[in-house]
Amino acid sequence: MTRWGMVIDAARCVGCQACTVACKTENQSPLDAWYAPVVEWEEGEFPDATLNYLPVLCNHCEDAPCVTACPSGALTRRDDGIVMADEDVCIGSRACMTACPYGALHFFEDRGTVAVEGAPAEAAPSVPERYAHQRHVRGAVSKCTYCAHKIDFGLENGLEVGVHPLATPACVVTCPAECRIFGDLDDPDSNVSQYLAGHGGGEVLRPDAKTLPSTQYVGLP
Amino acid sequence: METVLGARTGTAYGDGWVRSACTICMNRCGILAHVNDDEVVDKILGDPDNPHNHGRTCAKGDAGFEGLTDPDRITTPLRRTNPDKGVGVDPGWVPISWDEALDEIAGHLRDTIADDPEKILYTSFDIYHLRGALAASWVTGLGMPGYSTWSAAIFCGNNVHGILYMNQNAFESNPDPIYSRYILNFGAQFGSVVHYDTMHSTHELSVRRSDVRMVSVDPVCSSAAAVADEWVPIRPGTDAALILGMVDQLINELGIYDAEFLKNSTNAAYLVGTDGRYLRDPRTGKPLVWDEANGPQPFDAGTANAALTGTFDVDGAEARPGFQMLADHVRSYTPEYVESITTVPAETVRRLAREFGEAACIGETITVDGVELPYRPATVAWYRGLSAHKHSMLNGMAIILLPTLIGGIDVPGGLLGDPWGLIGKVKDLEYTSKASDDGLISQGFIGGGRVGGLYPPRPTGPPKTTEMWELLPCAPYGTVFSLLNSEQPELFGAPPFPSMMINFNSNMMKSSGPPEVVERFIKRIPFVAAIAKRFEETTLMADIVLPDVHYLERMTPLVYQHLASGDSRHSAYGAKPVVQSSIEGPVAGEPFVDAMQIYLELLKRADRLPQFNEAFNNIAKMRDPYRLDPDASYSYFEICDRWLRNTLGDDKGLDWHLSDGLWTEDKTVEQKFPRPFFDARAQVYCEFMIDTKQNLENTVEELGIPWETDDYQPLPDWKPGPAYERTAPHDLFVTNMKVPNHALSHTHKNSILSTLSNRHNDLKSVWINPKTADARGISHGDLVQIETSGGRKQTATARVTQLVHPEVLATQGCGGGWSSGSSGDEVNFNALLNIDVEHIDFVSGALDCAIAADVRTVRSGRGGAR
Amino acid sequence: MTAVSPTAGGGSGPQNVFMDQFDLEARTQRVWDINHAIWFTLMGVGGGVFLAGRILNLTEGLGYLLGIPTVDVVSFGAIAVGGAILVADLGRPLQAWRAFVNVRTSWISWGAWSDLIFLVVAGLLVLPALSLGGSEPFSGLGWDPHGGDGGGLALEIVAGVAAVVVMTYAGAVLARPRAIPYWNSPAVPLQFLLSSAAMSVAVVMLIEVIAGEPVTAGQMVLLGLLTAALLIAVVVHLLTRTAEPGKRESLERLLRGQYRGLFAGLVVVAGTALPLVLAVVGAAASGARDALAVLCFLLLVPGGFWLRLLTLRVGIFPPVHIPGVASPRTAGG
Repeated sequence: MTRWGMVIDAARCVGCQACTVACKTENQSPLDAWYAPVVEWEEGEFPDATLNYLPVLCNHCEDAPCVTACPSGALTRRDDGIVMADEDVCIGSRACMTACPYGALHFFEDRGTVAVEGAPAEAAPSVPERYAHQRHVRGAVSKCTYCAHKIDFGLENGLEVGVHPLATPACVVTCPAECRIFGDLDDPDSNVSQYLAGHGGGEVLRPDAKTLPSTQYVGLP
Repeated sequence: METVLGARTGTAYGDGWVRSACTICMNRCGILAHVNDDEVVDKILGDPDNPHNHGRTCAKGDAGFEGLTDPDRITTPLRRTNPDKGVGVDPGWVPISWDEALDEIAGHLRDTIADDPEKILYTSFDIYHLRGALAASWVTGLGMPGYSTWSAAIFCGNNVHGILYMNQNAFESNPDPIYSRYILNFGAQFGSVVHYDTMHSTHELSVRRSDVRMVSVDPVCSSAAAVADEWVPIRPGTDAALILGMVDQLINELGIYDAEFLKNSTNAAYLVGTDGRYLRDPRTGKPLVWDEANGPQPFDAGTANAALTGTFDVDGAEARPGFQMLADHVRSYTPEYVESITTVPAETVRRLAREFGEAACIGETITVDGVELPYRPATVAWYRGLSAHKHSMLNGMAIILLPTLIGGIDVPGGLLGDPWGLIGKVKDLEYTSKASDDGLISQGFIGGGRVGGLYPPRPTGPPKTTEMWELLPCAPYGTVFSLLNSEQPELFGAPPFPSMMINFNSNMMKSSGPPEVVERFIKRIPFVAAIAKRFEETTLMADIVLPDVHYLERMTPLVYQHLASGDSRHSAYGAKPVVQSSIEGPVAGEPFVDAMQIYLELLKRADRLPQFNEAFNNIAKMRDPYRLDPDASYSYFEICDRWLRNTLGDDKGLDWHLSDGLWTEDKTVEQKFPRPFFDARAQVYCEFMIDTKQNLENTVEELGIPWETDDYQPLPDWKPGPAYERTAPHDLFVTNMKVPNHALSHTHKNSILSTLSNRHNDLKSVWINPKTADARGISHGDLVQIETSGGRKQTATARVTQLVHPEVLATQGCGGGWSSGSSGDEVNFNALLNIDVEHIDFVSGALDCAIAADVRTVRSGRGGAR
Repeated sequence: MTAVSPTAGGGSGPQNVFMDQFDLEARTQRVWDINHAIWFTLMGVGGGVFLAGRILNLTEGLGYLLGIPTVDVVSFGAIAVGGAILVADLGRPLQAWRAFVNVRTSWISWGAWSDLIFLVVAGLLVLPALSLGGSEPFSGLGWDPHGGDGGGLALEIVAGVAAVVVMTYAGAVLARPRAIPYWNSPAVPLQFLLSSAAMSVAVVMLIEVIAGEPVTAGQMVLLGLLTAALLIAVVVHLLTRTAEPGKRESLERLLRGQYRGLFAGLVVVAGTALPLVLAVVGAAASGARDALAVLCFLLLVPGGFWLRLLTLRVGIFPPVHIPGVASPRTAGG
């Protein structure tokens, strides 16, 4: 079996938010929703203060609480471990949003910035907004899919997933610091497994939530 | 020529992907842009084949397609009908034809050239044009001495370019991202995505992060300081004291310096007399060095062991080597004295010097490509942080001492230069510099732009323009004097004011001085034309506006020709239209792809094409059969085709550019690390400053105008800037910093990046240390007003944070604005600047950006909100 | 890391949670608020009044509407209105039918089914009694609307079980995921169940008073037991896992922060402890029972609403990562 996973070496992150924006343009997420931001926090007191960075995104959990909570079946976990949101099926109960410990689900509210449904797409003020309204369903929840469309494209076209830029999640491709590695967690010889092995295993966020994430970290502050 | 635009098969990435170049910042990364079935660009990737950025992009580059479909795009030439100009004044635009617009601008050009071509002011920071031969040829064709990068020329390279040309024959320099093991950032952000060579260096440093120690000396914990091993907060404008304290430690306490390098590759051994000038060989006029065995010898007499230290008697005259002069000079910069100036603890001063010196590995070598080279893996980075100060040039002279002392220049691990003085020529780059008669690296006037070097200094004379170029013999730019002359016309005897301005990709109103100052300057110019994609604050001041193309619609070859330093590959590539602009251009029937098409039309209508063709031949180093016939008229496409073939080979013309467009080549070891392979020397003791000062003083005395010449000195000092002696209530410094998701000011209207800003690094905020906030009763989230000692004001939201020096108010970028799409409530740092004699460096033309200020709560905010 | 972002309090602004905030603070959920508190309350009362009416055998004699006992009308009405609010609050109300899909794991699906089953089955149960303009068109249906025969009893049991689920599932929705530690406890659905039961007894008492029927000592004892149990459930929840990230911030809000007054006053004292005292007094003093019953209703129903609303509003996600606290290694160690 394949279980796609991402390893993030947090010690490498420079906080540039390239991933944040690459994800947004790849997935054309609603303007107010950020599927893969870099969170930051201050530590210490002047002059021994610093700013820490941590890239976050959907954890694609083996025991995904969002899938469990979703009443409509819009949220599902694929056989390859990717947790998908079918926005056409979603009813907008947002149960997933309260169930996810990572805040990885994003509700597409109609915020009144764009013409009403049915208006020509050109009426949207900017390319990102226009495509957000074409690609996403208002009133539904959307999320990071590990760029499943790119992975599927790669598999269909014989491109190496995690290596070829058209077959790798956008946040991984863009990262100037090479913080992120994407590959098959079930394959002990894969890039991700080897990287984890080389660092004594990975850490996860919110271990208390026992969600068994596929997004794992090394070098967590 | 039938041009093939929108060729979408030039990459291995399938249909819809076009290889091009990003224009958002100076890095000009290689990109692949995707066009969807609606003919809309919807995705940008880094070009994986490009050795400059290795397939990576930053947040700005990822979001770059935004703006292509901006409803505010200017689509036709426009004429102003309202004679009144200013902030908030409706220009009353009416559309006019290209012919009408071009003829009118060409008429002004003709008249001004007939009067004095120096009265044309061309302001542009268009990085595609500036780094190629295009901008230089255009202004040279008009008979102007150069263009003005305007805002960049006020803030950025003032103490950078000349200093680097002096000591390493380079326009820019960066730490070696591959071999460096100790990197000291002084107010710079190398290693983060806020610098040059960002994608390459960030990647290299990140994957070797545990092997590299990075230290950031900065009043603010910038994004680079955040990822550094250590943040050393410092009082703004005092870096030179810390640097000279480190130099004192290295020389006088630790004895750590690369004596071999100093003797053979610098002027450190040149003997200096009591008048500060070199002692010269009476016969040859060459500077002397002291040979331990044979006494005084000309520097180039093959002396193996010239003395660096000591005091010598040369025919009755007392002489010390320049190095000894430096050693004596810096002795007063004790760690305790440095602490009192900088707030950096004396122990930290000692430790930083020791760390830097020990990390330099003096005496060690490394083998690269089979060649044994000096290995100096300790280095520094600086740009605006040290440059935008009153005593900017002295800061630059101080900082360059650190890499020079350890021999860490253009060797593995050291400070690596980018020798782009050779515009338009990728192959056969001359990496070595011709030496002056004194054996020194000698570059002088750089390229086709109005960018001056430091050594040899230019001759002085009466100023021909408001830039006072002729009174700035060592400055790279004089732009700030244009604003000063506009504010105080009689101060320097009213030098000739511009008769006309053409503005292109430089939002002067927002990105240089306070808007009201720049507004007064522009209003005094009788005719202003602007070329713009959409209305910016400066466009709104124009008499005639011409449309421009978005960078994803542009075709500009050779915009990138080598910036990645050190152990990386050469590359050359350019921009090509990812989509074809629907805007009608200046040439009927020709796709609109670049503002150069406008310039060619203007040159033609102003009868200056022959001069342009000649200039282009010279600047682009054109050879037969590609040279332009001065009497012929070429389309932009033909010029590009010839330029490409001339530069990259006959098979690499426009067709190649449009279908492939990426040229790469391995570097030789001499190209990677040139310093060990040439003889011209860097300078430790700037003897030329003494005569320069004297010449300048003579000139200004003749002119009868006031001028400051105190900073023309052969060895650097720290001197207090105008805000150093602060008095209550203006007892804080307000400064600004760069953020990784904006470049200059022109990304502020990108809806993705501005939304990100609002969420993340709020451009409306000012960072205040909790101590300072407490003392002034300011709470996190309060709306506060910053007021400078000059009475200028900006409102901001208080971000109370430990990440800033208690004496500092830190703002981000230069936000705000009043053109459509601007966020008026962002902080515009430039609106706080003082354009006066006290804040300008008369050596480098820098403007001091550490302003004395007060801050008070205007309206209480919600605590905890951010 | 104890700072907590300001809550939305049901106002405007994005509901998206902390991932959109670019920081690492504990983050209050902004997804569910006053609409949810209202329908949680209505569902609890709706299911509870039906059960209370049946268990206390108070369906008859307290008035009728179209032949249907008032108690049942109140029950159906509450659930119908609650359900309407629920549907209206969905992002895509027209897709509401899909809420029935994931019965395998989703408590909301269980809730949707239980609401539907309750309304259908309880509706069928009372249908024979429906009186329209003097005629009873469904009287021919073969069961006793009061559960007196086999068919009626079967419907009554099914409806009763559905009612219990209706009363409980809102709490279960909150309690099941571990994301929000304050919610992730059996105490939350237990509180909701007990609160629903207590509110429902009070509603039935009020109906009795309006109908002029005596409130009994037994009813007061039952109310006293329910409020006592509720008080214990609330207090125990306040005293457990108090140091856990997320719950710590929730408790801070409830006990010391912005909700201190509302929680202590409206939920604990007025909404639970005082009704308990009144019920004890009422059980002993027969003369004041009507007044005490009305008073209990006036205290318990707002108390129940505020219990739910404050539970929602102190739903706090702890930071996704506590700096310096290592997680167990996943692999390769």
